Amino acid sequence: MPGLILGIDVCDDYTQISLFDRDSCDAQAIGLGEEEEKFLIPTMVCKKKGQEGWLIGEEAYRAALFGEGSMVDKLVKLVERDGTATIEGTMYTAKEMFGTFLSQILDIPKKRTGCTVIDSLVYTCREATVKVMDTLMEISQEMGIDREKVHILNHTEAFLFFVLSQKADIWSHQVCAFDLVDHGLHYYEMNVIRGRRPQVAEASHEALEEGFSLEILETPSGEKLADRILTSCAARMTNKKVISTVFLTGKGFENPKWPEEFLRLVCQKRRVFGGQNLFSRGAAFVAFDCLQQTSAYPFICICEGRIRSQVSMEVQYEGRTRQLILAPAGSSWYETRASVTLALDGTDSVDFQVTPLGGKGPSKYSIPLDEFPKRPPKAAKVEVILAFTGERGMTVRVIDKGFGEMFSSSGKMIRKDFYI
Amino acid sequence: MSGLIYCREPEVTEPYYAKETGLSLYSAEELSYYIVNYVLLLPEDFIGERLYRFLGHQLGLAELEGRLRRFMSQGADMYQGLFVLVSELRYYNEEELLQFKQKLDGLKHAGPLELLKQRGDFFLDVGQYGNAIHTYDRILREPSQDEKFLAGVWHNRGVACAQLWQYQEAMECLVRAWRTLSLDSIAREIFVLYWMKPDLLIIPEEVKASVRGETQYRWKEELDAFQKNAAYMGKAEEIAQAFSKDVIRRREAVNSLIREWKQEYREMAG
Repeated sequence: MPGLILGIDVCDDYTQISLFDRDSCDAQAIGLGEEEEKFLIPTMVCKKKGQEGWLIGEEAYRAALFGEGSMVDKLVKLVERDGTATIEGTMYTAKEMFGTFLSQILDIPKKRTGCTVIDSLVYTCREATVKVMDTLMEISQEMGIDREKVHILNHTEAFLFFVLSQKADIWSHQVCAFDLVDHGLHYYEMNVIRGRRPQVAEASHEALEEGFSLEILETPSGEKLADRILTSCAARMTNKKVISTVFLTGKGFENPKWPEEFLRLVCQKRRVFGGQNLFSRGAAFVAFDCLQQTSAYPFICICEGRIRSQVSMEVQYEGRTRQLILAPAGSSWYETRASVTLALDGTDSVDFQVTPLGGKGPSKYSIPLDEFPKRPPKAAKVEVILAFTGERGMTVRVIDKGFGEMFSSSGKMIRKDFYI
Repeated sequence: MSGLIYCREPEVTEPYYAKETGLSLYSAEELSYYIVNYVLLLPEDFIGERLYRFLGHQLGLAELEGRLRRFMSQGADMYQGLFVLVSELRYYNEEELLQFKQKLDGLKHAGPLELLKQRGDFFLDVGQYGNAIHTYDRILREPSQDEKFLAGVWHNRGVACAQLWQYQEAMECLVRAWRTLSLDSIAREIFVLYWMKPDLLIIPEEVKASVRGETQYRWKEELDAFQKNAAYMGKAEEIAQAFSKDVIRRREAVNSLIREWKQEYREMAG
């Protein structure tokens, strides 16, 4: 039986699970209970009084409401702050509680399908910070899921891949999404730049200042005010843009009929879709794609969380000069790592080229190897390890590997950080 | 052209052990470098089953293994085989391969004693003075040879002895070389050796008489200047650098230097 392919949207307020179905080649959201509609699972845990077990989601909320336990919510922020919670005299770390929550989240598709193996898992968070990404990776590994099977996207990336997974006429022009959640309004936009090989898909995200609390939607006057705010935002964001499709998502659009004026504006000559699972489905599509030998997305994807330049170096291989690509433009900075072994032939530096996508010409970066022992040409090897600390932060380590038993390694390592 | 060569790093579980040097080789790059730089030391059976297995099973170069087997079975000699192997490993560029070819041609046409001398000279170049002396002695044991050739061997043996602080033996060798070749450069070495150990060594009168006093004075000045500079070069510089570090790193650096020098001495003494 093939394993599960999952996309999980983990936000501070709600978590959503999308399960990819290999037969229909589509991803569907699944909820905590039997009622399929309830796929917005509050990101919270509750420890029942005097008992060992933890509850999550609505159950946690209900238990806390009836005084049956202590509830901890906003788990993503808690992880970010490295916070703790003391319940019944015991201190629990954010990671422990987040791990408990995610473990139960992963049990939902397992129970639903009867399959306990996970083939591919992609998390998506609104803004995937290093702390949250590291924690998600650690928790997944502790749950027995191989690191190679787990990937993390931010919402912009998930939106981009979700749109690219739709029929091409959906993204024939610009595509945008309004994500209305408790803590604000987020605007996403993507565009495929044609006429290039490979094509470039560019996406951006903006947290709009005009956000409002969803509580105001509880009254008709509040709805009207919210509608006016949304309409003015939409007018500003979509002005003079050729937009083919608009997506509405987030708790605020659970009932998408309330903002009449806003809908009138965005529906002009555009297709408008409403739904709650855009990001988790985007993640599930990527989870499936990760299992394929050739990606179904032949695009260079440029957005937050992705490298905007190609990092390469000129090397000799089998007697020819070649350009060795260490980090392709459009790859996720968090996941991009490269390690190559090079022999030094009369050179005392390791040189790189950083080529911005579509912009200026390549910039050259160099790491002098003065600290390494002098050796005859072709009698020294170095290992070059490249990693990123952000979209523009590149760290390169060069390690003296010696040359077999003829020239032993000095054990020296040179580290250099670049802003590209 | 880039000075960086991309290396494939296959997982070598059984390296190729080169008996003649005691070195184990772990990659195609090391094998290429070893052949080109240690060619004088390679035994006649270097291209054999062990090497074929290393190429095919360890380096994953089964195709090259097959080609080399076929080439050698057609009656090619070791030097031809070595050239084919190094060319196919593609670690060296065309210019370097041409130089290697010329080196191999020279070796192919050299007599057995000339080969031995080249081997001794190789040991001398790489600082294995004990091995160099041993190799030169093998030549000197052979009966009646070309005087000039022998003088060259005596000279190089003298240099190797001097490097191992065997000053008296070094003086004897250099004087024997000078008697045949009468070269100023050798006379200079004799004088320098003497000035390093004046209480132990004697310069033969005939050597003294062959060099004008003014020249001797200039050589002495040059030696003095060199000795002054030596305090800031090579090993002296290494030890100064080690002592310039903080207390914790100094101990580590000095230990590492001592380890390195011990290893160097072992190799020197052969």
